[in-house]
Amino acid sequence: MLPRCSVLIILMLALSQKLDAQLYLTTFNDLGKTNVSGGLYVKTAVSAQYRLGKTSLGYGSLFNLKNHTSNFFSGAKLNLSRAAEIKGRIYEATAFFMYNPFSGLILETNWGLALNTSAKHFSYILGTNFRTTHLTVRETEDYETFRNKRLREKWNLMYHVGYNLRPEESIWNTGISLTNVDCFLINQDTNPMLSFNARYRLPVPLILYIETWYKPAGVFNISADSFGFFFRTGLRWELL
Amino acid sequence: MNIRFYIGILIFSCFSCEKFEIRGFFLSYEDADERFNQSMFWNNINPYREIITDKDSYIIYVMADSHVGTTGNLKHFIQEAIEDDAVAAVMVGDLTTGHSYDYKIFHSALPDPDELLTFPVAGNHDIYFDGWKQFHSLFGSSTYMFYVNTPEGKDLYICLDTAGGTLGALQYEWLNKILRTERIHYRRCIIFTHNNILQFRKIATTTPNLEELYSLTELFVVHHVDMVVTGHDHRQGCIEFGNTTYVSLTALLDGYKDAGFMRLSVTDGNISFNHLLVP
Repeated sequence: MLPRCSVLIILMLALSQKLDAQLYLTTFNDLGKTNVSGGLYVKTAVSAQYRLGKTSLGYGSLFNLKNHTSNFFSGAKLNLSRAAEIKGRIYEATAFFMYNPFSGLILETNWGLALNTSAKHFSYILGTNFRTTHLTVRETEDYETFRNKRLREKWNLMYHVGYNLRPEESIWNTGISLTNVDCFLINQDTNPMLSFNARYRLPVPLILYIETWYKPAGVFNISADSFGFFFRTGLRWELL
Repeated sequence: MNIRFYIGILIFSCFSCEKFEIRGFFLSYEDADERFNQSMFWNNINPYREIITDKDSYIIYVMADSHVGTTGNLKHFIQEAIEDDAVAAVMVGDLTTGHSYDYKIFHSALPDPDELLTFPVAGNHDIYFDGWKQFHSLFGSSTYMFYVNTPEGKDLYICLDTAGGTLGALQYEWLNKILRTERIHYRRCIIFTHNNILQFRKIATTTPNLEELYSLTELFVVHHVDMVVTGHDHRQGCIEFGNTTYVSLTALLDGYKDAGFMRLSVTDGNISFNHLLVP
């Protein structure tokens, strides 16, 4: 049901053309490994962002191609943004909702607000999110009712600080960022991730990018260990 | 006077701090898999302990975060456990500061095993200052099981090493296998580890990364883990998810305002617990 909805929403965004509008399609593939993935995992994602003036609407879906969980569909994100210029700098406020079936048993819903801006070389995101983890079944295999099926996490801090070697509009660029926010995952504020990226802008309105992400554990316990890593290759296409 | 001076002061003070080393923000002396392998090597030579009791009811004392240093509260905890006729005392991490001299003080305060069996688990502070080597040489393992056998049933206790903020791939796989193959043979299953699995309140310390958190909570739901007891937070807490009770203990640290420990009781297979404060 949800994968079909995902395709439908992306098609609707693609077809709802208007002269002064812009549509961006993004697709990426992740290849990675974590301490709990039982070997390599492969994920793929597709998303669309429709921008009309200062407002934009986006939708994306994430799919497991190979993972230790049985789910093929593993995430969806819907976001609505509005940009504003304050003292010569563009700020964009975003409201989002995420729906992430981690497995057949655990489902995460997440909503939040974020503010992002960028300077010549730096980019920043600051926001907060509210996460609910659900058990998707009513009772155990022995028909015993679960005492509690929901966990709530409030006011989780979202942050991103990125540095790009060259200005945003450059043909090629490379950068580094420290964040707890990825496209379909918002880690707890105490679990930062480190990402290195490189981008190349082709003459057609297409950007190729690669990223490598490192996920440490225990950083804020001052006892850091490796939790996982992944490589990402992606394409971002400006259609209109 | 400039920024470099202040950064220099900050770095120097972090390096010279008695409580932690700045390298811990980036890497530990051993990773979780190395510690797990060393624990398993020790387990292969020293089989898991089985406690046999002729009563249908028994008591286990549990403490965390003594951060020895000094042993006033630790001695009180041990004395209470012995007087209450507890079958075991479990110590869920941050037992020392990681310094070798504190390990010696901690070890010398422990009771004779004939008097009270103790089950220590490493916490993040225990592996500071290359402390894992001390832990391993004194206690052998931080990943192991023990059993309590009563006339009515047999209960499984699993101790896990989360000192590095993660179980690591090998320990996770081991836990998965134990729960898959062993859990069914036991009446109750309780897990002890240092790091909080769930966040009990907003604090600056780390819980496992989301993928690990979800994998563990799912594992505990599927395999009917009754309780997960952790320290780390220094504050009492209790959360239920599925049918698993997640308990966080207050610290046993000397001088800590709400210093205390946990009295875990199993009667005819029914688990109950209460937090006791050090007077």
